[in-house]
Amino acid sequence: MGILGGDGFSLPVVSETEVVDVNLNFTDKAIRALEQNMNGDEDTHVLVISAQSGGCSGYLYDMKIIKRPEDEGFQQISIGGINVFVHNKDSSMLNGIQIDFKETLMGGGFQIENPNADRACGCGQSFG
Amino acid sequence: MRNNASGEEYYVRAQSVTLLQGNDSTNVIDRVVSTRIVDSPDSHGIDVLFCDYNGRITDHGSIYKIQEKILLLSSEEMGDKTRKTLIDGKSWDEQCDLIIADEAIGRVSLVSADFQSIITRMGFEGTQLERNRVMEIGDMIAVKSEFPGGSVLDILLPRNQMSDFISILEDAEYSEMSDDRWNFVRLAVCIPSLIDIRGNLPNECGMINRISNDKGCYPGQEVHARLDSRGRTVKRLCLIMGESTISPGKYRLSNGSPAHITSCESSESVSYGIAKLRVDDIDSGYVNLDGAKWKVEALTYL
Repeated sequence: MGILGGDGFSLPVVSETEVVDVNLNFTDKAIRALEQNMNGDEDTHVLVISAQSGGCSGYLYDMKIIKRPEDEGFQQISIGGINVFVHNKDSSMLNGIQIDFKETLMGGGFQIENPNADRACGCGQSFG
Repeated sequence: MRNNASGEEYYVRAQSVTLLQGNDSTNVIDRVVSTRIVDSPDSHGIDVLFCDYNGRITDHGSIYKIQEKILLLSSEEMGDKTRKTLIDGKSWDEQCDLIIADEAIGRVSLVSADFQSIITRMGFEGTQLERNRVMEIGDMIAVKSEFPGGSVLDILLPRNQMSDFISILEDAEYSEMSDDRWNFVRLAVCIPSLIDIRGNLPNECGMINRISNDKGCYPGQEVHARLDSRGRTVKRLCLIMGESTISPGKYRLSNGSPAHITSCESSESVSYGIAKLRVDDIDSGYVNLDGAKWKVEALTYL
């Protein structure tokens, strides 16, 4: 079977982080941009905002429009009739973020300001 | 192997052991470490660094890909924090479970002038040892690691088989090292401890081979990239060898330069230590430290 066994260990799994009730702030421009991107799929699709390791500062933001996930670990926030989902594991990192939308040719798109971040990368996509 | 560090000896090392399993385990860990691991082959060990956003080392470890799982051995001191960094960085849709295996898997480090005879006795018959190649037999794996001062054979095995394995070692006339003896041997072989490298930049520790300039962003990558293109290494980690004893701490050389001794251990008439010295002082080959002459060698790790 080898040192790592066939079916895994009966050992403690590292547990995930603190869960808080998420509050998100969208600017009017960000809501309009979101509505355009949803393109009428509001009933079936949701916006998932998440964080994962990476980038120069430790964590990277990710935003995806996907079919409503079945995972029960999400918190659901309604923004202008659009369902925005944040997973519990990201809740403490993303609580209180402000999402804006900048219409510039260079570096435009959704911009996130995070009050929980001690630092951010110059590109604005990485925080820590 | 340096003088006084040879002989057939073993040491059961305290270690943080983490098992990562799931299809995305490699990506989860690759985003956090400074070393590129996504392309590494199975059954191969890789030495990795964990750095902060300033590029300074926060932890170090070795990664072994075995049977589509990843075994991470990292420092005991930072084990929980390193695991938290990994689990916090897992995306909600990634498959990766982190399992704490400190109580399940033990690590025994062997020093010997001839590893081949013990691995034959363990049943690895006909197998040639190669650096960082993982050899599996039964529930054990063996990996040979090379350091500036010599080699160490690490055996990873279930803790419930530890006493049987130690019997094999003692039948082969291996003796157990005390903590002080291990500290002496690790310094002679130049195995870094977290206390020697934490808070330093990889280039200062001679660990430039453990950062990747083409893997994309990871914590500290911007600083490492600037060091690669424009940086100048002012201080380096080095081995100091002498006949006196010295305690870890901050000193001044006879020329006034700073010296930071992070580890030191003596045995009979020889002392080995790891120190951070100015590069100009290391280049001279010897330094006068605390009233005694010490030979110095800059450390470079593969």
